Parts: sequence; structure tokens; C-alpha cells
Amino acid sequence: MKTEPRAKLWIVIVFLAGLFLVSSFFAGCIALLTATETPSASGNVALIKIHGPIVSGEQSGFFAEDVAASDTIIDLLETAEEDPSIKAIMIEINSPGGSAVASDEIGTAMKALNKPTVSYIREVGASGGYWIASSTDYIFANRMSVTGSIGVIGSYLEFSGLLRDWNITYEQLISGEHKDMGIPFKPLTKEERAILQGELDRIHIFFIEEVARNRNLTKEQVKELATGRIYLGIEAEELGLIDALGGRRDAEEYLRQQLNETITVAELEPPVSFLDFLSSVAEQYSFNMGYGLGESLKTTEQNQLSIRT
Amino acid sequence: MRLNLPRRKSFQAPANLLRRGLAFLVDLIVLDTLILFPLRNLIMGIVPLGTMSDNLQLFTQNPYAANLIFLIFLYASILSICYFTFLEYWFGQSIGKMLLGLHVVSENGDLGFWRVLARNLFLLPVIPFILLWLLDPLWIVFSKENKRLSDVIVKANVVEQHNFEQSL
Repeated sequence: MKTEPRAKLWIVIVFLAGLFLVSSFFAGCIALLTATETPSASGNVALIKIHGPIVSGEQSGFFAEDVAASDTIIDLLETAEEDPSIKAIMIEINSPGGSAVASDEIGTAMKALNKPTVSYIREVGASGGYWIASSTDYIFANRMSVTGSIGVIGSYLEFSGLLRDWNITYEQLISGEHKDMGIPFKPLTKEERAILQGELDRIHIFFIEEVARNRNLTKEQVKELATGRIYLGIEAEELGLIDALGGRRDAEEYLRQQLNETITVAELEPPVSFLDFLSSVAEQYSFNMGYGLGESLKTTEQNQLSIRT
Repeated sequence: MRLNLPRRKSFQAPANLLRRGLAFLVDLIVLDTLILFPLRNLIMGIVPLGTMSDNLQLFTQNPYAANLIFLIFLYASILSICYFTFLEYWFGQSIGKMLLGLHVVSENGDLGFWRVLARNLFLLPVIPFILLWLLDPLWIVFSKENKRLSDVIVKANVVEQHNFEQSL
């Protein structure tokens, strides 16, 4: 591009000034968008959805997998509890379960609420999903909804045979006899299996006790049902695992009778700012790729055995 | 007797490594002033001054802060690419190159916009361009013509122009 020196100077100055302005504008936008947003409700009944596997921690990112993260759900429950305009809380459950700890955290938070709660199970409210449902005052489910599954699973893949076939040796360097218990590179010993089975059984008992307490059933009653099998909504009603067959409309009607006033439902969702949207692009591209690859290669006890309800 | 030879001659030679380094340093100062300065308060708000290990710990414990910082640097790098690409496409020179008398030229024909853009993509802080942060400086040191790997790929040269008066 042939330009006169004077024109060139002006083009450069204008271009550089433009870059400065664009950068300043971006900085202003980010500063505005990072301002804390709190979910607000515009109704007297808060609807909180518990969809997907139940996990511990916070839900992050616009494109994040559809999970029910315990910290996020508890934040929403507390928001609803603290909001004076909210009179009751409605929980929509569509979850196959997940972390035992996260389910317990959400269940405990649910029971600590001073406002009426009702849940309705859509496709699935099994295992940890059912644990949470049982923590509400009243449970609805469709006659074909999958519920129950009161049991604990702690299975994992064990690769020692594969490693042996490929002439790869697991070098056991541990301090503490059972430190690598459940690692996928060696088979469990009888003692280790007994320890793990014992822990799963204890969690199973916690689960049974929790359901019995929540549903006003005896431990023996729940124990009979707690084989880990699923129950359709229609069976769950007969067994006392849910209160009535129905869906959202029925849950709303239940709350209308409880509150004795017209209800307006306001869905509470985790705050997703524009910045969340943008940053999740970066998250998907870099964080998940790098950190995820690293995590999948890591051989600490964290990813050997996860206990799920 | 009048030979009718041109009075002024010029030729281009691969740019001296030191001059290229200085030109890049000038460009970094310009970019720091124009692009990073407005973002500085924002960055300092997210990452307080601390040791490298403190910052790494912050990013490990707070993925939100890590994402935000990544986003800001991604944006800054895109603006930096715009800075180099447009100036080199329009004038064959960034500010640093103007001051040090360097030019970006094509080895074959006209150096179009996309080739100029391609030679500056090394600034992107994402894989695989991050690899060029290491490869480009190494290449320039071991290359006979002081060429970056990006320059080799897009068939471009950074040259310095030498003018001298004809003595005849």
C-alpha cells in the first residue's frame, strides 16, 4: 500500500487510537458483566430443577454437562428460603442419582428449610434422585416414572489382566497397607473387598435410615424395598415411596391448597451471565482438554473408586 | 563522459537479529500501552500481586478466575494480531519495524492479507499456536536468514533496506 508519509501517519494514529478504544470498551464490558448477579424470583413458589447426575460442587459454564451440582442446588434453596416473597418450594426431579455425599448434602439442606416443599419426579427419580425427593414434604411421580433404586454402587474397571498381557507391571509403592485399595491396576484382596463392601453396606444403611425417616416408614419396611431395584411410579405409590401419582400441575395444586392462595411459579436457575457464556468457551477448549486429559491419566485414589447412590 | 547510471541504489538484506529483537520490544511497549493498559485494573482485580505459585494455586482452586484471565488474554492477543496484521498488510511495517527500518516482504509475489495474518497467529494463546512461542524464537536463531518458522511457512522475509549513493 503506497501512501504519503503524512497520510500514513494519520492512518497509524487513527488505527492505534481505535485499538485503545476497543480494548477500553472490552474492559468496561467485562467489569460490568462480572458484577455479581443473584437469581430473583417473581412469584410465590420457587421451582428448582434437579436434572442429571448428582455431583458435589458447583455447576459451571454455559455449556456444562447437565448435572445437579450440590453447591448450586443448595444456593438456590437458600435463595428461595431467604426470599420473603417465596412461600413454598417445588422441586422437579429428573435424575438417576449420583454422589452419595452430594445427595445427602442436598437432602439435608432441603429438610432445613422452613417453607413447604413438594417434589415431582419426571422420567427418573432414582437412587440419589429419590433420596432428594424423599427429603421433600410431598412426592408426586408419573405412574411410569422410574423411582426407588435404594442401593449403593461402587464398581470400577480393573485392568490388572490387561496390564499383565501387555507386560506392564504395577509397582506398588505405598505407605499404609490399604492405601491403594481399589486402584484399577491390581485385583482386590479378600480383606480389601470386605472393607469396601462394609463401607458400601454402611452407606446403604444410611440411605435406608434416611428414607425411613423422611417417609415415616420403619427401617424394616424400607430395608425390604432397598434391594437396589427400581419401582415404577405406580408401584412406588403402593409401597409408600411416593405420596401420589401426578406431575407439575398436581404439585402446584397441592401447594395451592397448602398455602391457601393462588400460586405463581418462578423458576430459580443458577446465574449464567454473558461472561459465563464466553468463559465457558475457553473452558471447553482449554481447561477441559488440558485438565481433563491430565485427570484421565492420573492414578491417584480419586479416580479409582467412586461411591454412588 | 556521462554513464547515465542511477545515482541512488538500494538493496534488501535479511534483517539483523538484534534489530528484529528491538523492533519486537518496541511493539510490545506499544501493545502494552494501547491494549493491556485498559485491561490492567481488571487483571489486577482478578489476580492480586503474588508469587507465581500463589497465582497457580488461585487458578487451580478457582476455574472461574482462570477462565476469565484466559478470556482477557485471548482478547488481548486477538487485538495484538490485528495490530501486526493490519499495519504489516498496509505498510509492510509495524511501529517497531518502522522505527528500526525493517520491512516484511514476500518471497514470491504480493504478500496478501491472509499470509500476513498467518505469520502473526503465533500470538494466539491456544494450542497449537502456543508451540510457536518456543519454535519461532528457536528457528530464528538457527535460521541462516533469521527467519521465524511462521515466515518460512508463509514464505515471507523480514528485511532491512540499505540505500547508498552511486559513486560513479
